[in-house]
Amino acid sequence: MKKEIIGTSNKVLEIDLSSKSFSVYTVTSAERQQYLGGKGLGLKLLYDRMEPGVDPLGPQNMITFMMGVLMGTKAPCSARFSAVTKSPLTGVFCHSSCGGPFGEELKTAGWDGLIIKGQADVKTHLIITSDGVEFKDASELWGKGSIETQQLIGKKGSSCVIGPAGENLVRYANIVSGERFLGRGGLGAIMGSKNLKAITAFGGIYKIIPAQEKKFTRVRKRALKYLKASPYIESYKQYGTNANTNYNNAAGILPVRNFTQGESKEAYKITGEHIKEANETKFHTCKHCQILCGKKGKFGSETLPVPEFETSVLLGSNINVFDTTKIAQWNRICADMGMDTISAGGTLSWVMEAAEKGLIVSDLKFGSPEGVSDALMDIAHNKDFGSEMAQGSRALSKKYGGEDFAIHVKGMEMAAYDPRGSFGHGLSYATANRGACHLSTSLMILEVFINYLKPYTTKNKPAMVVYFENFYATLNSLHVCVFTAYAYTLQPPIVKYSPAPILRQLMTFTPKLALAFMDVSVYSKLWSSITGVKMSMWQFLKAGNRIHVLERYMNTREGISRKDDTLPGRLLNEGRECDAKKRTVPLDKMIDIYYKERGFDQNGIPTGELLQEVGIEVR
Amino acid sequence: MNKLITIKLMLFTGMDEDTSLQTYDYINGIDLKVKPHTRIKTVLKQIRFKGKYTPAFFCNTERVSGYKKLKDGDKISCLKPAGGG
Repeated sequence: MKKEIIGTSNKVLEIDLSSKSFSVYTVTSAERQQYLGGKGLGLKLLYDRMEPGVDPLGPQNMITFMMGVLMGTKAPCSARFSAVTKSPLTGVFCHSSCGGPFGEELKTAGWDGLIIKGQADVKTHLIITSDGVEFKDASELWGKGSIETQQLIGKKGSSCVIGPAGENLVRYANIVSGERFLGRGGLGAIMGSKNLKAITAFGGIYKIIPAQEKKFTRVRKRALKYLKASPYIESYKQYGTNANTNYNNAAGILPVRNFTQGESKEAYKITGEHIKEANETKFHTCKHCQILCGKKGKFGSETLPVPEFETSVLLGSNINVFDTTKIAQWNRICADMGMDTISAGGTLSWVMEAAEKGLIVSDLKFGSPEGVSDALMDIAHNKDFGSEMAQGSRALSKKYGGEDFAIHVKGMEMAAYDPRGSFGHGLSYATANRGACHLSTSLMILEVFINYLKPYTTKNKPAMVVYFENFYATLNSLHVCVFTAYAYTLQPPIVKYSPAPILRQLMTFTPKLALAFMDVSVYSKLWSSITGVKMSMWQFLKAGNRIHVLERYMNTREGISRKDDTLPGRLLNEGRECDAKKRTVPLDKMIDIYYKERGFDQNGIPTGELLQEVGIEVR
Repeated sequence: MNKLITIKLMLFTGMDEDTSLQTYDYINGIDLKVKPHTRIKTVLKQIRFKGKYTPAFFCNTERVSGYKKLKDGDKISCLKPAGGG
């Protein structure tokens, strides 16, 4: 019979690879309440342990793998976990979230997280059980792709592994768990720099019991009802995340040809509906998922994971290729090599444009799939020009010129929404802590998809960005799929039965009043029913604010300030081909108001007053 | 008498199945001749749209409501609700 954990074990394994030793850190109840879990708690643990200025690829850098409180319960869409570290791509703190099987295995082994520090002197494979850690030699796994590595490790337990890209310190290498990824920011290179090839957890020892079971069951039922009723969720179920393509194309925010065009006549080829029909897709989802956006399909003679929307765009329309079989094959190469498809695609599109403009010599061309597979393999193995492409578009453009069309923020390549057609989302990209991240607020949903905000105005956008930054920080700390937000925030009666034009007016002209009516209590109630700790929706959002401010403060200690909260020159100065008005993002009209709303000074630094108010100790 | 104008109607995410259109080319959409200043909602009535959801409308890449009046050459994209992310 399984042993029980009521809510959370609060035990975090602290592993030192240099000395091959480990200890157990017990999370305090104050830390749990202030930082929730997942990303928030991961950041706090690093803040307490790391000095500013450490080399991301040096032994002083640490990486945490953190579970949310929902992990292991039957809460919908909750089998996600985070890793947090200082990114080698951006030089600032970065979290990434993953729906792979490793998280549940670790949590049911009795651990709420891992902190990994130091550097192993030999290639290492960590084995985690409920008793602790075994340091195993990984020489035989080194050099293998993520798929073969996981096959060699075997079916017992679940792993986080890196591919050759992580071993070769590609700045956007990722970490792989099953067929899911801790995708962004180069976390795989952190494992590579530590000589850490794989971590395997053997769980199933503990059963996670919510502290308040009746309350949990009630809230879970409400959550499931909302998920079932949501038309947004239904579109993901049908078409996967590529359901977005038509919206982006219709709105002119689809990155095409390195963010020059905004739409394409060929875009239908990478839409969810076309892929569903042409590639006979089937479900291929994260554990405990009720949304079912993940798909597999037939591509040529192979059955492969259907590329997610971001991949279809960055390795597709943005390099002007619309051949889904090619994109699926490149997606597979990136998965096996362990590389982020967004940064890989963003870097390739910079290379294509730089070659066209004569800044570099390359055979890669927009619209041609020729050479792309080889380029991806060269990046992963640091071969020839691949070793330069492995540094990302920021490094390339600093060396060769063409910084205006290197589409990144803080060094991280931009996701698949052109902010020139979604001004609030542009502000969000510029201010996002980890770089050009579409999951810092996803304001384009309100501006383009749902239309509660006008996309081409700056009015009250800073207030919206602040609210959603805080809200998304809670989602990534609870650990739940962000897509649940469509159901949990739009299905409550106050939103569902209010006429859209009224909601639009409220959101545009009285945002604080509108947001006060926004009901995100499903999340706070799930958290408190599992932990047994009382927490109102407002306290929950305050915790989100604290997490966001802590991350910003940690980044400012690394040198981040106003100068970094910007967008690529192309998005500030050039219009899209599809837009007759040639609009650009009016960032300067929003940034000061945003800082004021946030409580940052004019240089974008959190003030002492703010840090004191949210309970962050100044160091 | 007003001359008729030509608009292009694009129906996405299977919306054509919720209309009376017998054939629909989801790559090129359909060209329709309507009276000047016809609203998008009226065009949907003409093709007997019977979906139980409120579609999203874009006119030449601008998000618009169903009450938007159309002019010659407008390209209208109609989509079922979908989220981004």
